[in-house]
Amino acid sequence: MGTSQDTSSHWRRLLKLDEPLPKDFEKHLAGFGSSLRPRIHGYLGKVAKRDFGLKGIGIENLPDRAPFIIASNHSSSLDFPAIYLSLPKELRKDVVVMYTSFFDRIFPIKMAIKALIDSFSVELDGNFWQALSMAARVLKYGKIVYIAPEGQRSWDGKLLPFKVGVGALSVETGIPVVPAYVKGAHEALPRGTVIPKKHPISVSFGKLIDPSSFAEKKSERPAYEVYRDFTQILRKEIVGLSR
Amino acid sequence: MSDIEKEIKGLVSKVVKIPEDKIDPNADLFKDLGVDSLLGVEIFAALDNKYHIDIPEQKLIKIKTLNDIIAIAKEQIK
Repeated sequence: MGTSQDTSSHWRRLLKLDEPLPKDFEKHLAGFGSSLRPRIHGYLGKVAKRDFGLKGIGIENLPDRAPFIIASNHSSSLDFPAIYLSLPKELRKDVVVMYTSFFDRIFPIKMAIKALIDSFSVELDGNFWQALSMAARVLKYGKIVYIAPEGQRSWDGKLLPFKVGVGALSVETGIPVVPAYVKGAHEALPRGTVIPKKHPISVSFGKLIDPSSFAEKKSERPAYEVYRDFTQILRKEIVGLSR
Repeated sequence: MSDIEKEIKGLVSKVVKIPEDKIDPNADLFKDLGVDSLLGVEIFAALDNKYHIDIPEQKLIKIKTLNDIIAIAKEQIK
């Protein structure tokens, strides 16, 4: 294999990190009804507390401001809403969610997403570079991106191996990751079900993982291996939060 | 297999850490051999370092087998 510095430049090119952002980038992310969102989120937060006793733990570990990545375990469609509603209100406005373009074809779902949160859709089948480069650009734009490094919802609630993409994203953008563990969402709404059961849900946020020391290692080792090491540390942190 | 094909096979084997004799040129590297799809970048970076070829993203996302890599690399080397 050639020098690791060279491989890193290939990753950056695929993540489109050195390309300027399009002029209408913000418009691309924005949904509608943003003035109503705090009220809707406030209502959803109350429902989450009433039905699931939603509790955020380790809120003090969250940075005061964007950009950063939140990475968590993923075993339920309630994972992201639970994380989002656990965030302080002043951070919520900076969260941008990535969703499968399949939902763009289901008009009511697309409208619901756009009404609730800033978002972008990506083809998740096949061209994962589109998803990664879009996430990189959203981070570069100064937003908060949620990532489930398992790449899919776990069927039995157990943590799956992590994909290396989150490591590439953090190390190449220089933007840190907040590890998070969602407990109870799998019991409330496991994969394969559509009606949630009342079950306590909590979200634990861990200490920020700074990618800068990993970026330095790229001069010694292939970039992929550095991203993989970063991802393994992230996984270890999330396992630690689950205990 | 020509010399350049053998060379590319050796290079891919080194990047994906699978012995050359275990790589069936028509096997799906990612589905059959369990290679992480993101390692495709390292394969193309290694090809670039060796042959100074610049493989576009559209081609990178299409590779599945060693033969795909060989075909794309040979096309660019020309």
